[in-house]
Amino acid sequence: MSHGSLYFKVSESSRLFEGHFDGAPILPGVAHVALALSACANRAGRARTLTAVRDLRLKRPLRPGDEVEVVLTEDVDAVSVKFEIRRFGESVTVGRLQFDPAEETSRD
Amino acid sequence: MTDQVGACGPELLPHRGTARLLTEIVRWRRDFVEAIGEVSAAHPLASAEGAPSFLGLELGAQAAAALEALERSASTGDRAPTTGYLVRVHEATFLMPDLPIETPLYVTAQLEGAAPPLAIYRITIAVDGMEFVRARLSTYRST
Repeated sequence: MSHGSLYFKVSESSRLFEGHFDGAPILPGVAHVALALSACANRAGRARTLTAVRDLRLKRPLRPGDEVEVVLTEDVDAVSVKFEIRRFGESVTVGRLQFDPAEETSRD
Repeated sequence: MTDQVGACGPELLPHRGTARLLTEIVRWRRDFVEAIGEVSAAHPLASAEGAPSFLGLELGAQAAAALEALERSASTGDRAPTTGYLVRVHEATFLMPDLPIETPLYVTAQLEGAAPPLAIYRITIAVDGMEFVRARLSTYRST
């Protein structure tokens, strides 16, 4: 199992905040998945095809300007990655992403 | 109870602009809704290839929130929008990598259980009869 952390700032001007919600913008839950997926692609140096999400828990909202750490732990099966998004060390979101096995093994 | 079919108006959900994926309620009854959504080409997660299938989780959560708003409106007459948050995805399977943009997405949400303000729904998303996403998720209703 390999581990790694990547750091992101949630841009105040991200269009993902538009209309979600007026006066009290928070990042949509699916954008947490996008952040984790981006971290996985960044670490792998290539795009990866997401086929499933398991045990995703959105514990706290992310707001404009938040700075986050995305911690990745590759599962032993090599096709899934556990992730945790943290803000100031506090857990925001945890979950497991599963990728296309055919695509993953063909790159070994 | 299928008396409010048609366009999904602003009274059901607080989402605006490209964040609003749900466009039309097809039919609903207690604990179940069938609706149509669409991803705008202007959506920030959309590209020329489409939109990532995990965006379907947001559409499913919006369908669940719309169902709760419809049921509340029918029982109490309260037509204020429901603000619901996606708080958990127990499991989600993406049968295709991308959702087509500017294309009708057929979404269903079936309530599996609830302990207000939490509720668990099983959702599906299909395009032209082909299933793209199936998931089991939990929402939290704050209003």
